[in-house]
Amino acid sequence: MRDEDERKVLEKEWKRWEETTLRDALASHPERRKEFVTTSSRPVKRLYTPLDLAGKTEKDLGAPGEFPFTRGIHPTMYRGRLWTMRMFAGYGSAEDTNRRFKYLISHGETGLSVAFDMPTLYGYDTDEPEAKGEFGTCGVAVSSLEDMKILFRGIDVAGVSTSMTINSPASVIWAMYLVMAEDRGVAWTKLRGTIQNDILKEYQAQKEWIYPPEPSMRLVVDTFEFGSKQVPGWNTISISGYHIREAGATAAQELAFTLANGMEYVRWGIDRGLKVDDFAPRLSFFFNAHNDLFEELAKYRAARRIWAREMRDTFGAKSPRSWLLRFHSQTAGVSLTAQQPEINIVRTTIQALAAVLGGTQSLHTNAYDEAFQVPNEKAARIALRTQQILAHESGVANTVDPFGGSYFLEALTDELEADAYRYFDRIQDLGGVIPAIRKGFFQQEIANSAYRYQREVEDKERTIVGVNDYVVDEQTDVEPLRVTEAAFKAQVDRLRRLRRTRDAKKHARALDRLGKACEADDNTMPFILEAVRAKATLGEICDVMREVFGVWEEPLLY
Amino acid sequence: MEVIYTGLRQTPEDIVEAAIQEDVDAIGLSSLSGAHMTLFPEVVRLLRKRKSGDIVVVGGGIIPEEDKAKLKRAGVKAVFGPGTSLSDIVSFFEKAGKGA
Amino acid sequence: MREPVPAKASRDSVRGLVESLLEGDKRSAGKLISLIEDDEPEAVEALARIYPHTGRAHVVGFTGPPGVGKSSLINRLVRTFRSRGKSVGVVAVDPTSPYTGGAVLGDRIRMADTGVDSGVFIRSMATRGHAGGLALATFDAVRVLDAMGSDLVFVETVGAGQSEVEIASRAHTTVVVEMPLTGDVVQTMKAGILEIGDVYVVNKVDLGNEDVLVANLKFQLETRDGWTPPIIRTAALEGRGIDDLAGAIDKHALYLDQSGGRHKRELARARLEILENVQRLLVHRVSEGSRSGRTFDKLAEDVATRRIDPHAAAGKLLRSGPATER
Ligand code: B12
Ligand SMILES: Nc1nc2c(ncn2[C@@H]2O[C@H](COP(=O)(O)OP(=O)(O)OP(=O)(O)O)[C@@H](O)[C@H]2O)c(=O)[nH]1
Ligand SMILES: [Mg+2]
Repeated sequence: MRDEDERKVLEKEWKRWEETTLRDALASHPERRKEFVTTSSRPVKRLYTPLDLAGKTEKDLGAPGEFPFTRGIHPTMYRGRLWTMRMFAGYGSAEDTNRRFKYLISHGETGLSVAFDMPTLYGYDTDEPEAKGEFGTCGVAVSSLEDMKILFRGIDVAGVSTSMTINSPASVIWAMYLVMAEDRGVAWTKLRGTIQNDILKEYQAQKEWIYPPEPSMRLVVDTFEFGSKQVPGWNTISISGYHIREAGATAAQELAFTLANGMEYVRWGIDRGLKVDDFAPRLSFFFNAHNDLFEELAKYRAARRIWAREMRDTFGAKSPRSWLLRFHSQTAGVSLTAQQPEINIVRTTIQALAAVLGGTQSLHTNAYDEAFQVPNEKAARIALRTQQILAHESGVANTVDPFGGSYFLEALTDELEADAYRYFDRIQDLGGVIPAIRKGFFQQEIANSAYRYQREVEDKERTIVGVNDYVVDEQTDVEPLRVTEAAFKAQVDRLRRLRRTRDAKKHARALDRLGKACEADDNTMPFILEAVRAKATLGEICDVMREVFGVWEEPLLY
Repeated sequence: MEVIYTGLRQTPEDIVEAAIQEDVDAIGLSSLSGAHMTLFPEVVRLLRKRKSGDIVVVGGGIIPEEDKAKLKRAGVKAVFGPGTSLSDIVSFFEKAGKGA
Repeated sequence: MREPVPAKASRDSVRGLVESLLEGDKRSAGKLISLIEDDEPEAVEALARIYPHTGRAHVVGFTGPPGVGKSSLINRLVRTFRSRGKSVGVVAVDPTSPYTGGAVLGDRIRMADTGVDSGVFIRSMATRGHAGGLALATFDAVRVLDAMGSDLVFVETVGAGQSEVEIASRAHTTVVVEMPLTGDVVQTMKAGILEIGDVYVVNKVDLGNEDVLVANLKFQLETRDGWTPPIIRTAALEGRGIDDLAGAIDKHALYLDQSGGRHKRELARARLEILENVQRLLVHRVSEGSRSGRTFDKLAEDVATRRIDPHAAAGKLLRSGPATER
């Protein structure tokens, strides 16, 4: 009752403001445009007031470290420990990238993140015809255990957490990492890190699939099952909205599709007979950090709240650790321009700020030469420095969820949450995530958003500094980063030597057993590990699976 | 103008075959992965081998400034790198269309 | 670099193109189809040279609503017939975008499996303004592939407007593709669709719900001239039912040969095409700038101002100029 009365008083008060102060102001100073919208074209009101919070209870917000974790997953957030500064890195040979890792560590990064080259991402060895011209340009080539060993030479794998951006061949690459540690005498229980291993968003956005959805999902669940028993400190998946967003999705689509995918993995895990509390704590997330500060903040907060609720109430998870949405973030590469590349540093700063204010657990910041190449040393260092300035100079890490309670932010958080549930319903109507992929639903939704955004830029409804306004005519110069022919030759030699010197019988037997395990219902992880120990290459292992599982063909959009 | 969309992950052989059957005036290649120095000249070579060197090949994507000249020498008619404005691309094709 | 490319055809003589075509040269086939598609003056000569070498290929038309899986089925069928050593040509017609006048000819990607195979030729065509109608140009393109030596030519068109009927009246075998709808809806067939098919396909059976559609079709389809159209269930993506479909096409071809139906169809088509060509010639004749064009403009003025009636004007126009003018 009291709430009712209070509401009436407030409404009256704001009405008065509108009819007096505001009206007068508008009469003398009209606004710049009719409608204001976010980066995702969501309309934004002139002013948010306590009225926008009406009906909201403390329960929706919660205290930091408590259900539903809207304000963050830890009670002290960055006062306890700063986020992990984890720079995505990889180019050329394992030697080249190993050098880059050490460089970044020496400059203060606190976690590793491996970028693989295109052949590796698609499950081919460097010397296969499909790999022609692609060695090392987009990341590091890892075709065998030998490469993996070199990649981490001189790096304390028990002391640093390592994230690996790999999807269809994730279990194979992970097996190489595990065997590498094993050979060094490091127990698997000591290892910490993440494999991206998120196949669903491949069909939706990144398009690095190999096999059809069902066998791919099986491989993913195999890693859940194996990891929960043998490598308990490892995140066996990083459910990624990043790629969905970069392909042109809105913030709401990024949020909704990522969480829908997340729930799909949970369903598959449960269907396998796993206990939700055994694997859910090892599910991690990966979001984009785009330009629109408040919309991004709202997205992260809504994500935490939805996940906690769904895990507890829909999937019956009992352990609070299963309710936590922990996430890595990366600033929006797609927002960075070839024109006046230096100003990308400014964009990245704002985006990184969004991730930090949004309570991220780890962060990659893009380099200013993003539109030209994988970053050169200096550009990567400046990007890392951006995080360090936020952490140590800006003061934003001093308190938990500093924007919590902002009328605007809380209203936006609710809106994004409501949008996500609308998408969940639509996906369900289509029969679930995989049928919706087959029908091209996500692909079409993303394409529509990307198209609308591009139109708005072309029509100059949106200003992109340096692109459609404030243009200068200057020759841009970024220092080029080149993969050398020598590195390629060395890699191919290494591969050939491996094939020549390994125990052929052992190798053949391991691959044969893997094929049989794929045909049967066995967990594939032990067999992949055995093949890796027998020096089978990435391409060889993936070929066995291609043979059994077939390859995926994309549905066509209209 | 008609665009024949041939899908992702096409080999140079597939591209040339499609171009010949569809009797196109030009082939637009896009590469963001850095494989342009291998793939673009290969398309030009295969076209010539099929006596179809008159089909214009243009390319775009993540292509460093210094590669542009090399690609042109290899027979790629025009190269559009990062940050090309759409109007530059359109006006290139309009000009090429008039020349034809 | 070499010189800029001059107009497509003038560089290669039509005769030369046709000669290489008959030797199976794909580039020539591609260029000849362009002449036809663009309605270039040389197309008439080209077709005259090609015509004597046609009549060997069995032409199969595929029609059905957008997205039912026509391209996917063709993709599979091409593979099936290729494995039996048959060469296959495909002409896929896509609607021109009403917005931009351009088209993204997407059928090709559905047929990507056929990739680089010397025995396959796939050509996309847009539905943009064809003077004599879309079907005429499409089937002229079919002739090019026929002359090149294709054993089979598949034609894909979207089932919209009159195009089904146009396909049916020209192809040897017309395949009508449908798919089951989901949900509790009564699925009705488009009017006329039951009369034109020689083979009916219910595709996407992997999605279920197809029994009602099949029963519905079975109930309504009738035997015509001793041929009862079979109903084939397929799942194109998985490749299910494709052999049955290939079998049905073979069977229909055999039926046409044995019943004399093939000649009957050829005759009907000849009548149709003569008339269409007359119309096309007329349209050309009155096109802007021509001598008859001026007559046409004048006649139009006369009809509009009620000086004469349209019938009389048509008669005058027909008598007005040399029939050979293009
Ligand atoms: C968006 C994006 C993604 C998205 C793609 C989503 C999607 N499905 O669209 C995601 C997140 C999935 C992604 C993934 C990866 N990406 Co990426 N990505 C980008 C990004 C940020 C923008 C690309 C883009 O769409 N631009 C918009 C289009 C319109 O611009 P454009 O392609 O440059 O085209 C312009 C011109 O080049 C030209 N043009 C291009 N093609 C053609 C063709 C013709 C015929 C013509 C006339 C003109 C023309 O005209 C256009 C208009 O100006 C770029 C960096 C950047 N800011 O450019 C990196 C970038 C391309 N990615 C890169 C890399 C390394 C990757 C990964 C390999 C990372 C990894 N190791 O896992 C993966 C591989 C994914 C895959 N399977 O291909 C590198 C490539 C490095 C290189 N070549 O040296 C870049 C440059 C980033 C970087 N600096 O590291 N990426
Ligand atoms: N589930 C299922 N999907 C199919 C089947 N056949 C085709 N599709 C899908 O349906 C969509 C349309 O297929 P197409 O083969 O392009 O259909 P089409 O009839 O040629 O389409 P238009 O040329 O646009 O008229 C694609 O996404 C196909 O993957 C099938 O048997 N089952
Ligand atoms: Mg089609």
